[in-house]
Amino acid sequence: MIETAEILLERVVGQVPRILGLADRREGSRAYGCFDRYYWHYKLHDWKNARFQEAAYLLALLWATPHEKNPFAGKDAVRDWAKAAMEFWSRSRHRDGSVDELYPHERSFCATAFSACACLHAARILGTEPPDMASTLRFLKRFDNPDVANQRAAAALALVLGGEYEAAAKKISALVESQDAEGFFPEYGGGDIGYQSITLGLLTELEKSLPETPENVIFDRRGLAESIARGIAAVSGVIDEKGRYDNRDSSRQTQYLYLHSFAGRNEDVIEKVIAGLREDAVLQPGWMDDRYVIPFCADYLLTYRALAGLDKT
Amino acid sequence: MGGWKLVVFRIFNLTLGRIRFFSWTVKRVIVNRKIKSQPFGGRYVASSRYFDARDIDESKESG
Repeated sequence: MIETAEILLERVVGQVPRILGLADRREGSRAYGCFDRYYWHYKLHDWKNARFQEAAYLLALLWATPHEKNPFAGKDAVRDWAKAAMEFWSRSRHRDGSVDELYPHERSFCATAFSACACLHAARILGTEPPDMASTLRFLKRFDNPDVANQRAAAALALVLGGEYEAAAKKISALVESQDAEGFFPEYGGGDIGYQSITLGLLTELEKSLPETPENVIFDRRGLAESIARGIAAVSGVIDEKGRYDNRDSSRQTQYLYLHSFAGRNEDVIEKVIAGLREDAVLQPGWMDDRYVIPFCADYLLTYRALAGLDKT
Repeated sequence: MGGWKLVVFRIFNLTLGRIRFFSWTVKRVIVNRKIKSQPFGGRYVASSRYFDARDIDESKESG
């Protein structure tokens, strides 16, 4: 499996030069570390889309993934750019710890949750101090979005990574309860395969990030594991031999499939996607736009690392 | 809050919203005219380069 999974790493590495091109890599620039090229270079936007800063996590993972086909592993420049991405994210926050994605002063729950996860993960991998997360974690504790499970899962993961275990346990419990009889998490009124795969990936990361003995907080680890298993079962049956599915009945009609949650649980799905990648027959990170290529690459890299046994590092 | 207070509040918000939009529009025009007046239209300066493989080459100095 690991030999065939190298294609996942190759498809990620192939996109990294494009992703790095999105970044202001000029030290001393006011926008040093900003990955929103439409903001710092083209000046088409008056605000920064904080989701681009999730590149910090991708770069940290690349830095920590030794492989002959990964020229970015161990490079000081890559580590510095990951740190710069985190620092720019931190400076971009509003006073309440939130960030914007789609318009100025948005204070987006979604973007705050995902980008906070990315920065906390990146700091852990690089062995550096994360930005001061107190205000951001307060924001994530205060707000919720029960209609959109992937955002809730990201918030729960950020809270776990930030040490806010009680608040995280509440969100996890609510998330598990929201799962329907078929195993789908809610995405604007129904199940969606693509977003389900994102939610499952986040819950997989969350499961791995739960502390062994948190003080005064009991996590229902078994309930979480069962929920993930049910979610995977709901998706696995509809994936064809090339990793594709019919999205017409999905609530948000996504086309992609994040793979991390399937590693160690249903690797047949990963094999199918790999078969599709070999023929360029399945949606892959390189086909995504500038916003979504970054987290999709991170997912492929996490999947490769899980299959290679690197996800303990 | 109801009655005349609500009406005043709503008119205030509408007016404030229109002022903000107008000032944002003016700002965009000023910023973009300033950018266009720069050499090469200001958006294609050489330092805003794409990734170069020499950027991560630790065996020699980057370009």
